[in-house]
Amino acid sequence: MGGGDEELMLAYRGGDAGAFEELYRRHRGGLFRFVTHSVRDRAVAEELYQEIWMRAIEARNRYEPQAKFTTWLYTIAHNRLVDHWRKKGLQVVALEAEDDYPANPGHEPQRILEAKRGLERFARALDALPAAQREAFLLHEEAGMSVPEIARATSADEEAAKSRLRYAIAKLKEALGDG
Amino acid sequence: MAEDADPKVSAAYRELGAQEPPRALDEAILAASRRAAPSLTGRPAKLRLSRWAVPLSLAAVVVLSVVVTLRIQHEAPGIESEQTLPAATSAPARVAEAPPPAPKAEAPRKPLAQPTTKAQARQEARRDEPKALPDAAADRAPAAEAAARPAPAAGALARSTAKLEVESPERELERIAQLRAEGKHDEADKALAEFRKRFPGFKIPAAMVERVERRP
Repeated sequence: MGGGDEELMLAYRGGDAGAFEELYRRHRGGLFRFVTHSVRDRAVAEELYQEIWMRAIEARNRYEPQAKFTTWLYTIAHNRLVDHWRKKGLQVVALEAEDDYPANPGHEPQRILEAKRGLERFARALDALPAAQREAFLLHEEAGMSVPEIARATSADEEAAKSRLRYAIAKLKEALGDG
Repeated sequence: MAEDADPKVSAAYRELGAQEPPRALDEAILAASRRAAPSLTGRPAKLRLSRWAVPLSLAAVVVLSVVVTLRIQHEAPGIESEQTLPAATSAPARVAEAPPPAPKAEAPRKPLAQPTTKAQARQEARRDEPKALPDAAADRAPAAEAAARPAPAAGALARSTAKLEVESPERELERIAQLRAEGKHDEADKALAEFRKRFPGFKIPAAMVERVERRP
């Protein structure tokens, strides 16, 4: 089945189950990696991933193609993640902060420097990014979003989204020894 | 975006590996999407409804007439006879023998962060949706729903068609949680077993497991 994502979603809204299957096939990998890199715990990630799709299914008849489908889908994902962090006791402000995300002992900068291999170092650097920066980077890589789209999906202004993405890429470049 | 993109960073990210969701998760999500699709338009249910509306209405009228006639015939002589008096006077005694209502301590416990009603669950679901998108569709929805709403006289018929609509797994879980909260554990156990049969691949969120499973 061809067609753009928005057309497929409209077809699904009209009752075409096959349209959803195509949409799901297109976005399952990207959304799954977005969630797994965001929460790290695989079991929790799978649970959130399922919930995000269920929310999309439930919200189908309120879908309007004013925005790209990916922006709509990843906005649902962003809101679920914020909810998840809030339930775990992390304030949303921590998500918004650029550098004050609670440090995990396993993700300290020293540990990153001690990492032996480049890819491992890169993975650690990705884990160590503040949540908002990591989210901006993942939206860019997995959903192919531009800065304005990232801003829209995360309810941030464009300057903030741009700065987060730029910081994230700079830190990851540094981890590759290319900074 | 071009000024921010970095091919080396993207390449390194791709090298981390292409994680994919497990097959069971795919199947559960796709099954939910298929279940939801037909109930969206309501066409299949409405077609069945229109085909059976007249015969069902006639059958209901006939059954009601027979029941009312039989009841009148059975009760009419007793109104004036003394034989019915003991039964009437024993009614309060039966009420007294009836099991007392469930103590208030057993009343539904409301978890702080969990929605307790379907309405609340729906509210939470809506909150997760993109806020930036216009609510034009939502504004139109009530009018469409009102137009599709059956007349009061067809209430029984409407209830029968409501059953035709497929409940989403999340709503079903919410219903089971409600039963559990109300202390209807046997009913909740039965509904949970039924749920697992209907949605074998569905991964019940941990928070929901606590609400739907029987606590020791």
